[in-house]
This record gives sequence, C-alpha cells and structure tokens, in this order.
Amino acid sequence: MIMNVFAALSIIICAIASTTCAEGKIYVFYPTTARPQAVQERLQNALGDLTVTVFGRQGDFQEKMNSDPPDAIITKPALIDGYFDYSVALSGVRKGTPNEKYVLVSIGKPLEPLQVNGETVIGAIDLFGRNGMRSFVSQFFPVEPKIRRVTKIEDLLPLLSFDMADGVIVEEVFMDYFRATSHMDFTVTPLAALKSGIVALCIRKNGKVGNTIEVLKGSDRSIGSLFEVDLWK
Amino acid sequence: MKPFLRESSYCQTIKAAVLTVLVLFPLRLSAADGVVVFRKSGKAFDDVVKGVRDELREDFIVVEKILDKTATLDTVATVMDEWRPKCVVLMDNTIIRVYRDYQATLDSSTQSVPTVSLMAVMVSDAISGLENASGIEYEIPIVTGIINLRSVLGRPVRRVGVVYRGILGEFIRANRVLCDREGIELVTVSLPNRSGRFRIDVREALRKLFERRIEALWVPNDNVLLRADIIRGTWMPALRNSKIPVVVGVEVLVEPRLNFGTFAVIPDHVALGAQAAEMVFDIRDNGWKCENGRVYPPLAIIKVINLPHMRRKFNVSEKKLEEIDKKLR
Repeated sequence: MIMNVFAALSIIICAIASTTCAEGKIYVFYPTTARPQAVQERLQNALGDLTVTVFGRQGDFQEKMNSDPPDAIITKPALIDGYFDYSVALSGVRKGTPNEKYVLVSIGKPLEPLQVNGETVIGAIDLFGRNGMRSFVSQFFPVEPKIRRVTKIEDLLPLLSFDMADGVIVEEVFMDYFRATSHMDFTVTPLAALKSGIVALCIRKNGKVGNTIEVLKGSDRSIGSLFEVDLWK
Repeated sequence: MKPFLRESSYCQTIKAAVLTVLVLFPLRLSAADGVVVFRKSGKAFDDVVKGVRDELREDFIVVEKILDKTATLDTVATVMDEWRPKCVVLMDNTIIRVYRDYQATLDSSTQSVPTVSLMAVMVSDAISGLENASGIEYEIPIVTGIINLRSVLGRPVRRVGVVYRGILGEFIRANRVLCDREGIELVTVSLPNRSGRFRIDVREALRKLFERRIEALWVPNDNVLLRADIIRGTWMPALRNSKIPVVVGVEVLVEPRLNFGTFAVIPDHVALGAQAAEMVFDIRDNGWKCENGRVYPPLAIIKVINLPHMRRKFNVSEKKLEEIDKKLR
C-alpha cells in the first residue's frame, strides 16, 4: 500500500517537474566537419534548460520536424521555407555577409559551370533531399547534372579521389578542411552568388527558447565557430 | 419497400465504390516499381535497409526478405515470382551465391533483373558470373583511413606499412594507386595464403616494416591474420611499445583495454544503404541496366578512436577530436 502511494507520488512529481522545467526544444541541422554529438554537447552546455537535438542526416531532421516540431531550429534558412510557423530571429554572418558562398571543386583541370551538361556528375552535401537537391544544384548550371548526395563534408573527398564525380559543390569555408585533409590537386571555381543564407535561428510562434538569442549574440565565439560564423544578428 | 429500395441502392453504390477501389488500388500499387531486398538479419543489415528505404520510399515499393542459411534458389524464385521487382538489392555473400544460382535457371534471352550487391566480402569477386550486376565493396580503401588519420593527427603520414596475405594482392595493388594520389607510399610485406606459422610470419613482417621506418600501420580485416592467438601472441606484444598509429577496420580492435589499434574506420551502414539506393535510381535512369560488374568503394565511414592511446601518444587537439564519431575511453 505504502509502495503504491510512493509510486503514485513519484509519477505526479515527475509529471509536474517535466511540465515546469521543460524550456522547450531546439533542433539543429547544419552539416559541418564536427560530428553531430560534438555540436550537440557544446550547444547543450551553452543553452542550459533547452533540449538540443542535432541531426546528421537531412531525412532524419525532416522526419522529426514533421512528427514532433520543436520550438526553434538552427539550420540553413532555405530549409525552413515550407514551415510557415517559423520565422528567422537571427542570421549568422561570416566575413560581413549573411549569404553563403559556394565553390565547384574538381581535381586537376578546372570545371567551369558552363561546361556542365546532363552527363556531368556533381557531388554535394544532402541538404534538401533528392528532389530539393536537384533544384538547388541546377541553379548553378545551364542544365541539370547528375547529382551524388552525401551526408558529411568529408564524404565529398572520396567522390573526387575515386573518380565518382567530376566535381563537387561545397561551401567555400570548407576548402580549408579539404586542403588540410587531402593532398589532391584541387581546382576551385567560384559559383554564382545566391541569396542563400549561411545559417539562421528560426523560432516558432510562441516557441519557448529561453536565452538562446542572448547566448548566440553573446561574446562566446565557440558557438559561432560551430557554424563557421563570426557573429549573429 | 421504399426504404429497403433506398438501402439497396446505397448498398449498390457502396459495392460500386468498393469495386472501384479494388480495381484502382492494385493499379496504384503496380504504378510504383518494386525493389526487393534480400538480406540477413542483424543490426548492421537493419541500418543498411533504413538507408535504402529512406531514399527509395517515395519512388519505389521496397520489399524486404530476410533469408537464413537454409534459403535456396526456390526461396528466391518464390519471392521474385510474387513481386516481379525491377531491381534487386543483395546483401551477404551467401545470398549473392543463392541469387546467382537462381539467375542461372532463367531464360538467358531476356534481360536480367539488375542487382546491387553489398554487405559482402570482396563484392567484385562475389558478383562475377552474375548478369546485369553492380555493387559496393565493404572494404574501406586504405587511403580513406590514412587521410582521416592524417587529418586527426595534424601531421604528415607518408609511409604506411601493411602486412597482408596474397589473397588481398589485388586490393593492395588498387590501393597503391589511390594512395599515390595522396602522397602516401604503401610499404608492404606479403604473406602466403596458407601457413602453419602465421604467428611467426606476422612477427617477422612487423619487424621488417618497423625497420623500414613506417609512419603508420594499416591492418587488414583478415580473420586469419587476426586470429585471437595471433593478436595476443604477436600483434599486441609487437605494438605495445611502438610509437606509430595503428589503423584497423573493426571497432573492437581499438578498445583501450586491448592496447592494439589507435584509429578504426568502419562503414557507415545507413549511408551505405543510401549509396545503394542512389545506384538503384541510376539503374532506373539507364533503362534498368547496370554498368555490368561495376563495383564502387563505400563513401561514408564512421571514425572510432582509442582515446587514451590517441592522447598519450599523439597529443591530438580537442578541436580535432570533434571530427570523431566515437571515442572509446
């Protein structure tokens, strides 16, 4: 009898605790060279009571967005286009611009965007899923090339070294990682500038985000460095 | 009578609707192409299937059949007759063999159903003799392991030692070319495929490699050279006081208590499934034809380190450790 009372009390206390302490949840999808668990650990430490979940795969992120939408998201702004409940609260800025710069990387001879045809194979990080990536990659070329999607920045390298792609599209900021990791003879061709944001904090209407805005805008550069940005505004 | 008549007409309407659905539903099912996955049971296979399904689910009906050791070509034939897939994904060497037997029974004048084989040892060899076949190797190229090691260590790794049995000769030859592009020289010692004294052979081979001033050692996933008695009696004593990093292909070998491997690169199974799915799309776009015999290396890996080993011997930065998937303490 006493045990039953204790059990019932425990359940009630847990229920109260979970409703009063939960400050909301935040999802992060931003492919980078650091592993999702490392990003999650650092963000979780900085954001305290918020529950931070970092996704490594676009499909997992999309699935969770649909089944259990969070209070806020940190991701590429283009990824929240279809989610009308969310609006951009902060944008990451790198070298004075909030827009991402993409480059086309090939081995040896340069691959000019105008040379790309329907048989050219272009590798890219999967940000938008199969169909979304077709639209995204096609923006840079006269025709839609064949696309090879990978999950991690480092997986773009074997596409080049094993001759599985003619070139890869990557954010310019990751060229330092490419050059530090591989000794291949990279040729880098800048791609047309897009009005495509680097990273944004997007908050759902009435979303509980605690002190996220203050933390991101604050002086702790280590959080910005997770997304390779200098500041948030 | 009127209500009855009205009810009767409702019934007829419902019947008509049901019939319409019954007619349309199979049409809708058959409108999507089918892909059959033959695979073994187990967590690694589950992960690969997740990758396949996530990618294919919007465009294909994916049918999964788990086969055990007793599966025969009749088992395969029953599934193939039932589902008539446009493409087949084969996982594991035994299953590839059974499927080859099944394919041999078919009329050779019609185009074979294309296959993508993976999760098997030496897929290139395993699919030889299969028609309209392609695949993904399970073995991660040496160059992938070494450039990732180099990145984590933040220092050059130019000479990599390898002890291997002759059976891996072709793999080593192909990897020499890939390593060369990255400025990495493979320093190798080849052992016979069979020997009654592998414990001594491996010890001698390692001594030769250390004399040739290798900067890292790459250990192949060879269950003969990695027998428990050879690990305990030869590899571990030889590597105990060595100052070079040891790259292995299985997680258990970087367990700190073993004091053997420093860095493991293992396949990312979900990504492997996604890579196979990508090949299915290519095959569809190519009129359900494979580039016959074409086998690709796996693209995505999971990096595991022996953290105490890495910290004690190589002073790796915390920033670099963030690139690691799993740190064993």
